[in-house]
Amino acid sequence: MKFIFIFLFSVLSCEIYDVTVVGGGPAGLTAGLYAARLGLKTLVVAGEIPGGQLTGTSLVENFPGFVEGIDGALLIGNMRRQAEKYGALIKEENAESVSFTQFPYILTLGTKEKVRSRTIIIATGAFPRRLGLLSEGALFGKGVSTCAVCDASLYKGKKVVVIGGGDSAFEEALLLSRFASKVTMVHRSGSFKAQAVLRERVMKTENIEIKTHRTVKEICDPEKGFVTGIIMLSGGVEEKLACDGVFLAIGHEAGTGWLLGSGILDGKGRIAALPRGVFSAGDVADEHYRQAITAAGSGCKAALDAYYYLQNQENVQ
Amino acid sequence: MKTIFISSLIGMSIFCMAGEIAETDEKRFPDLSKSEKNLVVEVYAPWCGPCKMLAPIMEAIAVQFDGKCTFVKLNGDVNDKLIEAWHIRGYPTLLFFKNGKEVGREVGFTRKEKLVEVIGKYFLTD
Repeated sequence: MKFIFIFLFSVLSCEIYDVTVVGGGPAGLTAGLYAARLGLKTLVVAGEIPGGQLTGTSLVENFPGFVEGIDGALLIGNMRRQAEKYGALIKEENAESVSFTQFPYILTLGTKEKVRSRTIIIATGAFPRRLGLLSEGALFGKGVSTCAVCDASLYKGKKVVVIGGGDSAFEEALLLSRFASKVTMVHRSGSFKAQAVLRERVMKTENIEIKTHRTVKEICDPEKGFVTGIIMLSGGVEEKLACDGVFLAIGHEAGTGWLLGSGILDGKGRIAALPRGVFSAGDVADEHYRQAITAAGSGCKAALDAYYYLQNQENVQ
Repeated sequence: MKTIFISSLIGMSIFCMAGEIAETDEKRFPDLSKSEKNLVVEVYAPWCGPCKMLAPIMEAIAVQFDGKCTFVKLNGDVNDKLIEAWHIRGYPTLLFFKNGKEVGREVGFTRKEKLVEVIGKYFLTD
């Protein structure tokens, strides 16, 4: 009897949010701001490392309203304070999983805390894709990087490798060429997705060399604790290249790991379907634009959609 | 006399306001690593977003470990030689020194709970 009472009490006392936003970048924080200002009981699960990709950016020069640009971390901090000012509760926790089979939906946080919510906005962003090598994991931050803007200045006079063939790979190579003595671009095929203007700039840059039809087999040397080179494969033949840093620019993956098992992902981990009352915003569902301002705009739209959805639900009942 | 002067300089540079982490540089670091048994060096760059997020966390941890561990920060943009010697390849990097010898490091923004655990492991368990 006592246990039944405790169980009932815990269920009944569990707060139900109108909107739970998962993600702490510009999309999530804008959704949180709008939802809170619409008078909805709003929770933002901002992640253990909040801020999204903007916090890795030094100066954001294309966010309207900031003529001289604004520091990425400051912009995110301001968005967060603005959302909190209007009553959004922000938790610096990761979402672990979600169940869409019962209503209100149940979100489980990394701390095992259960959150019940009538609507959910998925805004968990995108992350730079990794090669998936053990040596890459061991040397990440110790010579392996996904952010040339962040780390280029640490490679003055050094040799670096950039992996990838898209715009970001070419942009990173150009930036690194200003610091490093030699930049080698390694690409698995012979054709590049990068814009012609970027390709031309790279061709004209003396200290950038391009190696095509090569995949990276291993990054050396985890035992030393820093990068000494890479081992490439070309037509089954191994080739070693000495370098001090490896920059990965092989695209992005949606931050949907916590949605595995929820039944809404396709085989590639992308959001394929959204249950009623569930919305997406920002880079998690945008493979094309991926800008801070488009993320913020879609966060606003998702919050308004959640508001209209809740209004319709009330009218129906 | 020279020793007293150097010690007082180091002392002044370390014991700032509670929680405020003193700045060090290439010139001062050798003496600092000799004088401080347990030392945490926060290597940052002024333009680095994750470094700015980490700074208040480190200040809170410095208060928590007051008397047990010395915390300093070093601007990587203007200390090339140490950056090279330490093989720093990402900002922020936290270096942990025990009796002048590096015993570990953490690269990138790390949450407070994990840092408290790591620092405790290095400096509170003997």
